[in-house]
Amino acid sequence: MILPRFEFLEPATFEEALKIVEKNKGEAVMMAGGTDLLVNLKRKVIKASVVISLEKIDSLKQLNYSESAGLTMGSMVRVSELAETPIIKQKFPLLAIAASKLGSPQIRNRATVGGNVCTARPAGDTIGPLLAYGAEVQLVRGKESRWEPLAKFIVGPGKTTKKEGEILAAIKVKPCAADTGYSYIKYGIRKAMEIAMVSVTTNLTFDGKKCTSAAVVLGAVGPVFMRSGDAEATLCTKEITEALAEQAAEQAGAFCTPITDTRATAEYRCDLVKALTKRGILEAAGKHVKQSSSRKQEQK
Amino acid sequence: MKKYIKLNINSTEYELLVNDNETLAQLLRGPQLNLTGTKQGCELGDCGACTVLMDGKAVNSCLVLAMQANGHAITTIEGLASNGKMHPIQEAFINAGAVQCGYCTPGMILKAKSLLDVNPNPSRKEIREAFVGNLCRCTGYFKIINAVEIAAKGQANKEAGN
Repeated sequence: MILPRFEFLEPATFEEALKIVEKNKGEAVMMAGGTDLLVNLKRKVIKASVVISLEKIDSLKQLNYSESAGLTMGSMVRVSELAETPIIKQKFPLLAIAASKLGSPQIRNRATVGGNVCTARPAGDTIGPLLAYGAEVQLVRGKESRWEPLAKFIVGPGKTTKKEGEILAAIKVKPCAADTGYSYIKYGIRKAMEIAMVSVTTNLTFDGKKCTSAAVVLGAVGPVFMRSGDAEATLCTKEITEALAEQAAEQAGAFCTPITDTRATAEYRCDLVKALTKRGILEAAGKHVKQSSSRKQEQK
Repeated sequence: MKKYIKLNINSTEYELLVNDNETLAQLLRGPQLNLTGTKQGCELGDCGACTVLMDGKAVNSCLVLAMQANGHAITTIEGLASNGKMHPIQEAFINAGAVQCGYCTPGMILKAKSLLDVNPNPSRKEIREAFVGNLCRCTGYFKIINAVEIAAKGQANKEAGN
């Protein structure tokens, strides 16, 4: 399959990239890892006369963590890095788990977190965890820089509020509460190279046995990822029981708005949301119990 | 537009003239290099037949532009044998009967190398997971997984001096 003709530009610095992007407005596409873009260019889904790669810009590959500020990662951090970096595994396990389920090892070695976010697919693997953690994205154009919550940045399938000439520079995630339980369920027909039929990301924060805050993020069941506010409210300030999980799951199922496509029917997806949300909540609560008990053992 | 790039392929330095829209797979297989051991299957990153190592990491060479290989080290299947002797993973694939039509084999062997380089003693599950991006339509995968196990054991024995 032959790529259509285009001019390939590789700015070495962020400043140079901003200038080149501004200069080629309307004709250029930006390339992060290229695992999606090159496929779309080959298939002629996307047309562009200029391709601007951000790969040479080292400042976009930084990954920093501090207890006070949390995690800041450049948009060009590879998905394989998310899956393998110890601090992400330890502090933001949902992100590491989801990253390890994206595509194949070969794809993960090229794909980037910024690319995954900007592609804005309803089944994008890193998006659910980033939303559950309340991530914000930084967009830069010329001398202007703005931060926007990821939940507002993605507005439709493949659509973001990224303006012409803007570059997604960084993604920021606040530090996680100490006492959390989590679960990421990506449901598909096969385990490998799969696009989620439904994904459910659950992150619960606890104070003792009580759940104090909850994120239940549903993927591939609407034009964008959806946080089920009703389900989250049901879980808050209560001790998680099977009956409570079931009640929240019913609410999530009623809330989602999936479509019927080649991968599953809308009805089946709604049923999946109910089953997987319940499973996710109980799994997250179970992990919390295990964490608390292991901590007690440590104290002894 | 054509540009010159410098890269290392199988431990040899090259300076090559490449097109903007040329993929690494096309460059490797093209008239300048003629390294046709790298196969092109789906050309969309799904099948893994074009897998090569870029700075030691497995990538789909159909989804890397030739220009992006500028300054990097590439290993293809032609780079594994040394002094006319096959790499232990290549031998293991033959001994295990893991090669049938052979089209997926170069990609499989390079993916196996990238796995064993970081995890010299993988479990069967880890081997299966490593190969999720490499399709084989002949073997049913069992013999390929066996081959990687044989190669891993061979390496371990060699290190133990047996």
